[in-house]
Amino acid sequence: MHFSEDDLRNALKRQDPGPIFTQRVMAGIKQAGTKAPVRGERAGFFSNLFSLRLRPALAGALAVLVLLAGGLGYLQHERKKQREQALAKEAERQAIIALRITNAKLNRVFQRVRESQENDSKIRRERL
Amino acid sequence: MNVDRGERLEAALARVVGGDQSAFAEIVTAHQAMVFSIGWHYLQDRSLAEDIAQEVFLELYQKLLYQKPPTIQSPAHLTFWLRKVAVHRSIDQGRKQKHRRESDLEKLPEPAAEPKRSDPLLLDQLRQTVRTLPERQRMVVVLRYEEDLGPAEIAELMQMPVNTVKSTLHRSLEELRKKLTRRVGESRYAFF
Repeated sequence: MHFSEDDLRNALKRQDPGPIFTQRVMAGIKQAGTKAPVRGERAGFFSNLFSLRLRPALAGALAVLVLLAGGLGYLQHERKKQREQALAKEAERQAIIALRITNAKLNRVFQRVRESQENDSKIRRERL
Repeated sequence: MNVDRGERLEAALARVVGGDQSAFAEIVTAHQAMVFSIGWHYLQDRSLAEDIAQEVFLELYQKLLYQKPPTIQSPAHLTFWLRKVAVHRSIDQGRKQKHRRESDLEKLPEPAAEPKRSDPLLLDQLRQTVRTLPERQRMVVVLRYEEDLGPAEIAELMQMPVNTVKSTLHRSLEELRKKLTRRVGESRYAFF
């Protein structure tokens, strides 16, 4: 089907919504009053904080905070790990000492038993 | 824009900055057809187009009243700003309604025969077919044929390269022709 650019212009001609629309807009403005500042251009610290201009800076600051928090968390985790490893080594050392003491005591007990057995057999032999 | 109208709008702008609401009504009356028509031709939904136009004017009012120093100082800049905001609001609204487009196309009335040039039926078919174009193509067509803007102006408004605007426009016209031919062909086949 053929159509010209003029046909398109005619089809897409501007249409006026009429005077009722103007009244509607003005009523909306009266209703909104002065309480609702325009998006992205609100006054005040917090609105400026979220304004388009400051958004990259805010994102950068947040990224730095996240990195710092992550770094601190990692350091704390590493310290805790080292502390636990030191405690484990100390426990191992103490266990080895305890085993050595037990071993020495058992050796002494065995030695005494052996000595008493030897004495018994000596006495028996003398009696006979 | 003639000189008299330009001067009147410039004076109205200055009065709005000073808090004069009746001057704003003058600005609305002067631009409402443009702002409304962008939404209307893009969305083909009168109430949505009115809502968008109202939001755009409300935003303008607040911008004029609260922005210090005011960035909109000339009628030309005002027109550019209104057009730009209307374009982007319409595209946003269109994206929200994307799912409705296919079913809308099916509901369109079929012509009984090939309409003559400048036939109201042809114009209606054209409007409806424009509505079925992808969003970027549709807005480029609306800005080119409703607002009579050149590729460079469309490129500035839609933040895209001029060559892309030209190719998009070319592709859109091809697609419009194909779609219209298909629709008329189908209706003829059904008729015989």
